[in-house]
Amino acid sequence: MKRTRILVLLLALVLCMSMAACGGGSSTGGGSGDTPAASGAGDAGGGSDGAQIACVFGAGHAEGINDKAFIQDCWEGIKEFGDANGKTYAYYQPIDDSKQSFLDAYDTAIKNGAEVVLTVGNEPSDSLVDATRDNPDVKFISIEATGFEESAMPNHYSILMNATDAGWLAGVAAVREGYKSLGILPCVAIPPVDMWTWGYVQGANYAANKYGIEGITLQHHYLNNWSASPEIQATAASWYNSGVEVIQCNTAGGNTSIIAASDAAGAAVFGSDKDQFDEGETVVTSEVVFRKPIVISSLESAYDGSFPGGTFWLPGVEADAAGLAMDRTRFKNYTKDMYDEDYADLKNDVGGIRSSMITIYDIPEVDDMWNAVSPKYIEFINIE
Amino acid sequence: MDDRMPDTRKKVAKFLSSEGFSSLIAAFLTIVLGLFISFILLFIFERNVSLDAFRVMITGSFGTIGVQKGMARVLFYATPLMLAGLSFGFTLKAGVFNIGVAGQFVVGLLTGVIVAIRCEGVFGDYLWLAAVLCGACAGAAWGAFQGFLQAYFNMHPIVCGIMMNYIGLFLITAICEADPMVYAKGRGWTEVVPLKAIMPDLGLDRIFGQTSAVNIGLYIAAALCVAAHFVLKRTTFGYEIKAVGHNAYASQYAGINIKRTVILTMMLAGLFAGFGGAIQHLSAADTHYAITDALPQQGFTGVSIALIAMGHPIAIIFAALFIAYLQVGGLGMQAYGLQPDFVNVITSLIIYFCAFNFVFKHWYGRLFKWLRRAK
Repeated sequence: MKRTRILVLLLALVLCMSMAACGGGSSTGGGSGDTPAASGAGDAGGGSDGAQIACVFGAGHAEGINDKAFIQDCWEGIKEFGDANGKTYAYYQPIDDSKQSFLDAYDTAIKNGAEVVLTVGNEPSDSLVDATRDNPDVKFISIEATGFEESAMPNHYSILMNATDAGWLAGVAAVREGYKSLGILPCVAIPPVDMWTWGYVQGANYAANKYGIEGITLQHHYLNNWSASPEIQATAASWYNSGVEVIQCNTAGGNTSIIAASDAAGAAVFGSDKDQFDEGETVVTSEVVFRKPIVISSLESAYDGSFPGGTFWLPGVEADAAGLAMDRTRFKNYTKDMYDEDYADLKNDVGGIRSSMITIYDIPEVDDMWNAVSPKYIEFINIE
Repeated sequence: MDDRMPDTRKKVAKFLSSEGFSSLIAAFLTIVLGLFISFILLFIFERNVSLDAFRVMITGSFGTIGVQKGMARVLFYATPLMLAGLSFGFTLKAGVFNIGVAGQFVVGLLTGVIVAIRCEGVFGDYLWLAAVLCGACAGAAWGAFQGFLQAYFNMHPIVCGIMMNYIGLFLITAICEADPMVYAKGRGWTEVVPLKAIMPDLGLDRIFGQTSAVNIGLYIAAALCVAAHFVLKRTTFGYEIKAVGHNAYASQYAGINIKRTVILTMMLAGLFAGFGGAIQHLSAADTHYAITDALPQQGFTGVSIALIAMGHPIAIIFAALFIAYLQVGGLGMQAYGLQPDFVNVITSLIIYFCAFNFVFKHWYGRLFKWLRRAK
């Protein structure tokens, strides 16, 4: 019986290895026996041999490419660019989130013909130094990777969306709408996520001070999870039950769990990343950073010779890359005119709003952020 | 010559009807059927690329990345899987369902990280060894605690395992987060471990290339599997484990201390998982570990591996290699627009078809008898 088991596995290995040997031994470049033709392959774009544009994101995102949040937003940009310019594209999710797994994913993508590798999220940060050094002929564009603000390789264009701007506008909107008990449920304590929070807190603080609105409570808790789960939904539900009126969710794929809790409680929620109006009946609006046009413009630069390799970009309202999705909202008091006024104030830095804003790079300690709010107007509760 | 023919025919017939050959045929059918059903699914959902994608999966995409690099990847991913699989498989023998592998794995992993960062000046060049051993011991302690709860409080192994997974995860992450040397506050991950904490490659780089991440952990994992086999096969303790697994009441009647056996078995299972976790993270330099509420996937993949191998320690080595091979192939399949989850579907199918192994063997035996009668 035991011998049979070992035999099964040994045979499976031998079978596969022999097929591998038959598959060819070329270890360099695309165009070998296994290079995909990629014509109409599921989500992969067709046209020529191999996928020319590869999208790589973390294995921990259980929802995959269709996370209804930032990964999907970037992927839609890649698809739009690829289809318009006759470039093939595919996405790769590494086996796990270790540096080695990311390096293997890049290598597989490049061996399959990738000319441009676009990474999404903070997880690839560790692997990008090695990958850009080892593949000088391949252009890397990172969206939301951190650690490249001051130095990046000449073939690496680092983009971090300025979510602080979108968060600020949401904070102002929440207070002007009349909410008094505000909840913040970010996924993890990393800069691309915390930026939403910093903006939201400062926006609420700004509006409370400007309009003299007292008695606002801000409740904050890291979920330490970014995929939809019953635990996230239960946490959000308990917050709504305890009197929280609106939750700002920055949990990528986990947003849908918070929206579900909000729908069940008949409360209110701010979506994030992309317009999540259709994800629930109680999504008031969504804080949006427009990754899709940024992805398209960065891919254009990779192919038209103007690739800004070695540079870092933090696009926000100055590039019209951040804001609220105001085309469809469920606000009762906060109008489009009020939004336009706030947006213009932020963009034009009226009264030094934007230039004096505390960003994630100004504060080494997370807890220092809460000292920035006026205790007269806002009470801050951080739940560890 | 003519006189010798019947003897030869008899020998061939004896070989064809032998236990070994019928096992071989059954094994072959198991794999072929599992892969065939996978291909049918692939054909239904991704008709245009099914042939190419399937070929990439079963060739491990070696054709594109090269055999040397492909083998390195398989061995690298298989190492922690072997240990996670062994952790589950070992307890199967005692009739205990160790669903707490993931918790023991992460406790071992983060203990390894803490020791690597905190004790840099203490252990010198053997920092990696100290970190791995401490990780393994932490996993063992966590496993033994689960065994204690099961043995003395009669807690259900599954409920206990699932709860202890999360308690272990939250406890060890809380310890990490409380230490500013270990946890990078505001970044959501641990600090990078020192270079001396990285597992040495022990000459494996000469076989698999400078960029390969295969390391001494592979030898440790394989050696532990062999050691576990030896313990089960050749020692009194191993006999006790198996006896308890077959019939706990009869074992107790025969004088075996069941409580002690369960606790020790769980302790060893935790030790294996702890080794796996520490080896997983200390296998590569410059890597942070992201602190999340998610349990490491290796812990659950290990359960699949142990089930494929039916808990046999040596078979677990091959099962881990096989699953890692499919994972590497699955990465290559994504070039065709296929989701990585497809590999999980194939793994599940093969597990299901392993259960048919005895059916195939039985059918083969009947077919052989029928052919002989027909003659």
